Amino acid sequence: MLNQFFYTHSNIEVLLLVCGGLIAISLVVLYAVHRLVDWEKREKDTSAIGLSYAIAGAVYAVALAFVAVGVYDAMDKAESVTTQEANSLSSLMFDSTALPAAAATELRADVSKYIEIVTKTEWPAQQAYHMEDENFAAGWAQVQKISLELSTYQPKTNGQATNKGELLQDVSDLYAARRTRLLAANSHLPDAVWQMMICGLALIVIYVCLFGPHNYKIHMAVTALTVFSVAVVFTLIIALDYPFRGDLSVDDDAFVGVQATADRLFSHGGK
Amino acid sequence: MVDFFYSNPTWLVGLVVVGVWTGLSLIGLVIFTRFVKLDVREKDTETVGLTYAIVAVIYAVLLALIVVDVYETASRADEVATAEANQISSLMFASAGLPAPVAKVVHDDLDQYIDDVVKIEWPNQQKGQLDEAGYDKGWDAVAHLSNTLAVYEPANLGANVNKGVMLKAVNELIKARRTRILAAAEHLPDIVWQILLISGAGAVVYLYLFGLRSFGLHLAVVALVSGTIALVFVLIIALDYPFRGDVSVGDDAFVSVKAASANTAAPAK
Repeated sequence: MLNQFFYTHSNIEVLLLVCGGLIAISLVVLYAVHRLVDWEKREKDTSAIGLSYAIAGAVYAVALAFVAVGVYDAMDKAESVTTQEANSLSSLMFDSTALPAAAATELRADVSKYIEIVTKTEWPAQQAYHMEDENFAAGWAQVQKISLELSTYQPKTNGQATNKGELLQDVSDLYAARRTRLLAANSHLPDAVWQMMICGLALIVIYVCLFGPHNYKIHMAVTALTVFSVAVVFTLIIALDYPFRGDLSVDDDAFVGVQATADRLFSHGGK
Repeated sequence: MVDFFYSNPTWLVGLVVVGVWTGLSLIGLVIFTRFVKLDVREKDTETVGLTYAIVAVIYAVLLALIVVDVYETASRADEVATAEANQISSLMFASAGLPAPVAKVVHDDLDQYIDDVVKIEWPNQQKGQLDEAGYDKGWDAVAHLSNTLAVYEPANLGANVNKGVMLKAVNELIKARRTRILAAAEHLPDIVWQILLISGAGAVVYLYLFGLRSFGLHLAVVALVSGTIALVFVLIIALDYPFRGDVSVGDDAFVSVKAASANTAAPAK
């Protein structure tokens, strides 16, 4: 349910919920520790706690930053896969000029239909994380149609045979890129990583609560700011995770661009 | 507003970013110290300092990794531009195997394409003008080249192999071109900038909690930390949008292919 909330609301709403929620919980924990463990006891050992906290905090901080950057890299890769798929479609459009006029027009129409399915059906499904197979069946059928058309095409000369080889390679690249995109759309940060990050944050909060500052408000500020800095990175990870899902996701510009170029260059059905 | 960062020299952007960020940090400190007195903060400076470690490390590592990532993106953009130029070069050389009239058409298309890229597309990319229309002439040249090769009928098996290699090179050229056009629009997502700014503000506000006896020293500490953060922001701005602004991927690869082509004798067949 929480997962659903994160990807149906704006980043600012997620930021407010994550930061507000985690800071509130940490302040409640601080209050409980303050009541249960005498301040004087904590104050005497603040230096020792601080020194040991440095290593625990640094390990957690580095791990957290690496997870954030790893998620950002995954999004970059998802974008590359999308570009590859669009590039294959672009190659099919350009290479179609080698076919007889009727076959070329049919191939371009099929590629355009595929682009329409991807941008109008598959992209919204990915953004809503409706990754059921039926949402992608039409796309697969269209790729199979293109593949069948090309494999049954009989070239009459050596030159046409070479062209056919290039077109088949384009379809093969399209298959590979499409499958990789669908797998990438399903991928996300494993639950175990989230569990470790949340447990790590809990330990950090307990650590901070063990400090014994003289002023309770300073203790509250320190706790809130520490949790805030972690919560902000959590928000970043949530925003970047699921590269094809939600507000901040890989867009379909690459496909739209291929169609726009093809419309301009081949709009008269010419070669 | 965003245009300012990418259409001015890096030194000017640096001055503005460092000046504004550091100035705001110092104003924040002045206001904060009026409301939270030194004697309240001084006693707990040790605790604040010890707990600051994690906030500083998270922010420092995140910031550093993002800089590395932006730098890698710029390097990849450079590779894409080189790959595109390499395909043009391959086509120039391979065209020697075509009959003279076809070879001439291929040469002319490639020359035209390089001119379009260097004289129209590159300046547009540097200005951040990435509308489709700016790429139309380049697409026309590639489409003509692709069509010329596709309809060319080789006279023997050797020529057919040559045709296959050239078709492959044209396809790779189209892929590299499209990848370059998409890469020109690539930039750090807004959410990453927002998080960097919010976390940076958090890291600076944390410094306010320190209870230094000398206010001048406190100002210096805040100015130094926020100045360092701002400098890294400037670096990210300079490297972001790999084809835009002062620090961007150059068109040298295309210019050198054109020069090499001019030095090569016209196809003799």
